Amino acid sequence: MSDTHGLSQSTASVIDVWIKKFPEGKARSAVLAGLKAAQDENGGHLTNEIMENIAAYIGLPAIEVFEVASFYDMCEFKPIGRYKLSVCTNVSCMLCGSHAIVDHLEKRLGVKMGETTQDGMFTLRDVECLAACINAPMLQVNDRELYEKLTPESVDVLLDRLIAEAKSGE
Amino acid sequence: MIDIQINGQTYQVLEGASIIEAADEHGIYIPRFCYHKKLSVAANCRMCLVEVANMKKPMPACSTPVSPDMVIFTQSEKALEAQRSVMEFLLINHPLDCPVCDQGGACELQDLSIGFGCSESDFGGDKRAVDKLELGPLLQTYMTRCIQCTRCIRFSRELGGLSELGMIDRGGGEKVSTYVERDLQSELSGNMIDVCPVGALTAKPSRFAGRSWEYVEHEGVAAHDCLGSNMYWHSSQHDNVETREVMRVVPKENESINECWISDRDRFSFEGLTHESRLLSPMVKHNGTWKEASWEAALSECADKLGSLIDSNGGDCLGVLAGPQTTMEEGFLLQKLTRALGSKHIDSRLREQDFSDQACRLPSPRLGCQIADLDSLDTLFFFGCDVRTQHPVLTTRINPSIEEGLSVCAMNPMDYAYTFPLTEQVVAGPSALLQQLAALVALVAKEKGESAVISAEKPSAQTQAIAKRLLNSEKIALLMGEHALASTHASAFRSLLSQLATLVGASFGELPYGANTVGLQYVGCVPHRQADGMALAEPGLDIVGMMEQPRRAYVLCQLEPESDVLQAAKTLKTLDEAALVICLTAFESDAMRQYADIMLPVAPPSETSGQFMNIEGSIQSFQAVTVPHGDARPAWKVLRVLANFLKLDHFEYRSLEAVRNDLSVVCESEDSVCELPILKTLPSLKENELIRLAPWPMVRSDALVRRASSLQKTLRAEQVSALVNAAVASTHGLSDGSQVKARQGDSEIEITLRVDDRIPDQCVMIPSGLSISAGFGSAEQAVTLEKSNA
Amino acid sequence: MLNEVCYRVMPKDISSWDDETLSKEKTWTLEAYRAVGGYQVWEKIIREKTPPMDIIAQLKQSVLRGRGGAGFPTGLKWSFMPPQLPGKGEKYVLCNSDESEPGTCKDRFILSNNPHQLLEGMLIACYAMGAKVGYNLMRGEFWLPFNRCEEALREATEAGYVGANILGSDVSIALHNAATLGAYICGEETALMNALEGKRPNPRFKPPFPANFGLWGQPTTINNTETIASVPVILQRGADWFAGAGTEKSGGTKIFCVSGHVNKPGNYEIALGTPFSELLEMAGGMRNGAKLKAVIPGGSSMPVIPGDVMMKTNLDYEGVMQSGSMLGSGGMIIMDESTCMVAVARRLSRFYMHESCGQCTPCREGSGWVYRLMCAIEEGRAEMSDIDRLRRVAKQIEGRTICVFGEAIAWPVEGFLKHFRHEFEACIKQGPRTVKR
Ligand SMILES: Cc1cc2nc3c(=O)[nH]c(=O)nc-3n(C[C@H](O)[C@H](O)[C@H](O)COP(=O)(O)O)c2cc1C
Ligand code: SF4
Ligand code: FES
Repeated sequence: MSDTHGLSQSTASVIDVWIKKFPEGKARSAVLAGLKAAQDENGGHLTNEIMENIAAYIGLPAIEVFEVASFYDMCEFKPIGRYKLSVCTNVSCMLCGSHAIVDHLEKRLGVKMGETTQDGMFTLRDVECLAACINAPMLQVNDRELYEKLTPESVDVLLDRLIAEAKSGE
Repeated sequence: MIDIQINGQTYQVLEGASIIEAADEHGIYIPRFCYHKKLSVAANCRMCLVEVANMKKPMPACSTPVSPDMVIFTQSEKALEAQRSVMEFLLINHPLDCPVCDQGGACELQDLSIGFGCSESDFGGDKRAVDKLELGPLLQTYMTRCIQCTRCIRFSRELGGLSELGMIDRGGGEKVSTYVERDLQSELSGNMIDVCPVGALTAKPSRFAGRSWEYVEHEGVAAHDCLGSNMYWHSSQHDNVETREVMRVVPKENESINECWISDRDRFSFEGLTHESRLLSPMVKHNGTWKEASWEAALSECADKLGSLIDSNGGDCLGVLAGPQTTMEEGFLLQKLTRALGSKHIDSRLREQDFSDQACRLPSPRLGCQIADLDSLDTLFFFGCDVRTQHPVLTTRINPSIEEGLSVCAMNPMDYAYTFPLTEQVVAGPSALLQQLAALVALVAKEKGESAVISAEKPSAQTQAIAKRLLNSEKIALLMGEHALASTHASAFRSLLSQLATLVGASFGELPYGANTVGLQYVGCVPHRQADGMALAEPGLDIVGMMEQPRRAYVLCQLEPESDVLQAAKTLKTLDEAALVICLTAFESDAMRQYADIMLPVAPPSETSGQFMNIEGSIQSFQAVTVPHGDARPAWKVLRVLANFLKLDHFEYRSLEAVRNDLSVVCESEDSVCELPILKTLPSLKENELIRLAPWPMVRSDALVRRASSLQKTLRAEQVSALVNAAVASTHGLSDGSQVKARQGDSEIEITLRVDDRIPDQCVMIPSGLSISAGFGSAEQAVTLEKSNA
Repeated sequence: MLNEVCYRVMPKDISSWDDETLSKEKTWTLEAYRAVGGYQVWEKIIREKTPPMDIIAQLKQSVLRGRGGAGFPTGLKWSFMPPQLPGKGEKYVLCNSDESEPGTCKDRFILSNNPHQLLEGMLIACYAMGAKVGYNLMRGEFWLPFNRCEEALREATEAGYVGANILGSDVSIALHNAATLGAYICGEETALMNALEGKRPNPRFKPPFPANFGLWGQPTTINNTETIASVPVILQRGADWFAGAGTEKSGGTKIFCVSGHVNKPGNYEIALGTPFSELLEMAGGMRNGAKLKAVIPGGSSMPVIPGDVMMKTNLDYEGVMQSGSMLGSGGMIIMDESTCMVAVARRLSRFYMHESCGQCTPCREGSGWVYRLMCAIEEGRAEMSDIDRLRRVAKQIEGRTICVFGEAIAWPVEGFLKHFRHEFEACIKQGPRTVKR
């Protein structure tokens, strides 16, 4: 295997797979997939070093990787909680009571939107529409699973499950 | 050409042009911020919105192509309303601090907002504040003033060839930034100050020195490389010429040379003008102590001492050297004086050491094509040329041409950090380089069906690839750079390159160092030709000869031998032992106090009038911006009076024009064709020596830049260390960071070693022109390395 | 004609549309898709070597219009692709699966539950326009949809529908799924190309247009997910069948995402031209029997329409236009009497401020200004003149930007001020929250 420029073997191979989806000489198209893989691997956030490594691996100036990463909502540049809860507060969700969900989460977790709980378990994010308007209100966990038609009660069930999952995972 | 209508009038414009190009062509001004004729179109500021008939929306003039019979209104109510809106939006987050902004008075935003009568908007909220950005010693930033036009980013990527700045975040939070705050690496970074339409990027060295409307603009010619970039000196507007000072330097447009760019060296070297080591009055040394003297006293001492040495030893005892900022007029007088005194020993080729083919070379070096031709080549081939640091402005033509399909090949003694990608490259020490060049010539000759004139080693894979490129290209330029010119193999290189050029139908030229090396050779500051270019049957001694066969007396015009010549150690020793050394110099130094006997303060470029000849052979003249500092005088005046003191005939010049007249009469002869000798066999090459590569870092190239303080802060660690590759380091038992002794005979220095794989085998790179390497050994020759015990 | 085109794998009975039912039926598998006649069209095209012009002609006849927002006739768009390539290089087909417009959530269900139909559509699109490569770019948050599409692509490749020498023919088409990292602007067609190129997803100025200078500077056609997914069914059941379902100028069926204050929010795939009142009925009517106050009919960028006007509106491109808005993406946000229009407008302006790419001045600066004015008004800190200022700022953005995001900021503002100015005035006069949200 060639030099991974400080990237893990697995991130490097994700990038390799993506490079093949694009024409010859268009490796920079793999930058998004590289950022995502590296961020997941790093517990949910990017560091300067990671971006520099991606840049070196793909053959781009570091600033051009940072330009791209900093544009996107899903890129995090500071450590975040084990579970990122992205709560949609856009109009359809708002009409269906997302503020109640937000209030409930803030109260139960003791942090405000945008913050991370002391124990590093949850980060709350107030996000834009995630294309679940017909099942509003909703939230997404770690940019993956959607939880829809939320009520404060179903949020509690979810939180309990995530806490239990984290405990058993340790 | 097609017809369009702008504001009711019909114009013929180029098909495919944008509206703004068409309007500019006809002098119709459309406001703009992001558009810059030399940069790609971004169309992001929206300031250039104009009305186009049959279009519902106002159209951006910079990104809308003209079409036949288009009807455009740049001043209609609809257009003005759109422009005014954009202006209002720009101002809501722009600080209205023009009175304290360094750009005040030269700000495109300020000008336009006043033009629109809306210097304020009815925006009630707080303005956005953007964090400070640290870009190094040359650029001052105030990013809250940035209007996100991206000109700086586009300049740095498209013309500077380095992606150092970028736009980060998005929306209202979008800001120009570097990756992690890091000093800019570009040799052209100052141009971002010019392209920035507001006061977000300003010049650190000249910031707050004054307001632009207080400055007087003087045309000038950049004095640090052989391109002759056009520029303006801006001086403080003191009605009193006596107290006028140079405040800053900006580019002057010249499409055929520098377009609208200059290098950082050209822009910021003016700081050296006021360096404390400026020599402000004539000085004479008596019994080892220096005393100030009047011009009268100093010059008569020169005349006495020089006169009596010549009287007793003949003119042959005099050797004369001229530095590259010496003007053509000064060079002309200098060689005239030398020859009038009966000496043939004059040279200005301070950074060459192989003169064996001098009789067959052009009277002065040439690029072989026009600078602007570099825009439209298929292949550019550099040989021993660090174009990025030595002729930075040339890269503003190369970097964008890469996009257009230019391929650049190189054979270099080290892997220079070019700003553009190389299609093929050979990196090898001087001897191996010579072998590969010979192999390249032999291979190309064979492919062309010509009988190979030189027998050579097997070409390496890269050499073969270069051959293939050259054979498959139509428009090719071969350029031999300053690093190859400095080599002991220079004449062999030159011969082979010119053969190669003939074989592939390329132009061939040289890129020597220094502002006026071309002009000085042209006016006869060489031992083998006189001012009219005529070859001398019996040439005098060249710079190497003058040191190997020491003269009794030397006159040095505008150079610091310890830092400016290849054979620094030998030169210093010879000068030390000479009976008389007269220095015409703008600066003094400890070394000079050692070897000189008389120091005469002369004016650096901004304080004298004169002419430089650039590498295209164009003669460009300039006027003094200020009076000389202290008692300094323009060197041409000093030389003229010195000749008078020496009672020489035909030195009755009353003005610079008189000198120029003489010079132009003498120099009428056309460039003769050069017929370089055809190299049949390679010189014997020593295989196991460690050769010292000795390039000059950009900011150490001449006395003036060496004293420009902000530029000095840009010197990076690797530029002040000795560099070897890992293999050489390990065979010498050295590692990154070790202190080493480099030795050549008696000459020795201690320097930090860095391992850098850009250096080929059998080479160590020890830069010239550094204080640490001043007076050390001979450049481009064998040296030994050992670990220092200290 | 409920769920007969893009949602044909799904149960016709919308109320049984929960994840559990869908999971049981595994509608996203090749098997399930084949069971409803999937890939028959593609097989036929390959077998019969259908001339590409015929396919484009059928699409024109079907009156299919782009479902991504602008409603541009799809057949016509496809015909813009240069048939021959002048130099070397490729032509590309892009599927715009960014779906980030508030109120819109139809593509996500196609991607997760009927990915094969999208793939078949992309194959046909590539074939019809002579492209050898197609990309389906999804928003980064689409984790499940992405995985389903990847799985579908794997199945389709194994079955020989995608790749080199498709079904033994000399036709080769490569398809790829790709994902962004989340930014609404990636839905703008040229921004999507930059995103895919790994650059900042700033929209590009036009001209040049994508049909000549698109992805990597090559001729490119971009369509919305729903548009592309409609193609196989149109070709299978006939252009006339499809056209006949809709109105003269708005052919076929379209998915409407009904969200907000209704009893049965959901995606309803119905014939264009259906009266809004029927759709509202399908969606179970207003929640708690409340009165309809207003509807945003085509995703959040479209001007709001008062309830009474909406009740008289037919759901086709022209009908909604007549009512002063646009059909857009079909995202219907239904608001009852209790809704504070200032709060809705403010929330939307926050969205546009957050999503502006920032490159052009009116949008970058104007979106923030609009939001600040909205905040001031809702919080009772504004003056009456701020309402006109708000209108003026919106007008100053509209039509001056690189992409139509500028309009997307301006139109909602203009819509709310046109129909509900009194609520804004009330906020200013009486302080915050006079109207319950
Ligand atoms: C800001 C902005 C966001 C857009 N977002 C989307 C989107 O998420 N999905 C989509 O299909 N089209 C979106 N569009 C429209 C596309 O630019 C484009 O018109 C569409 O994908 C074309 O496909 P169609 O002809 O099939 O409708 C957006 C346009 C703009 C200006
Ligand atoms: S209108 Fe907005 S989103 Fe579109 S290009 Fe301009 S700044 Fe970007
Ligand atoms: S000059 Fe045309 S948009 Fe900036």
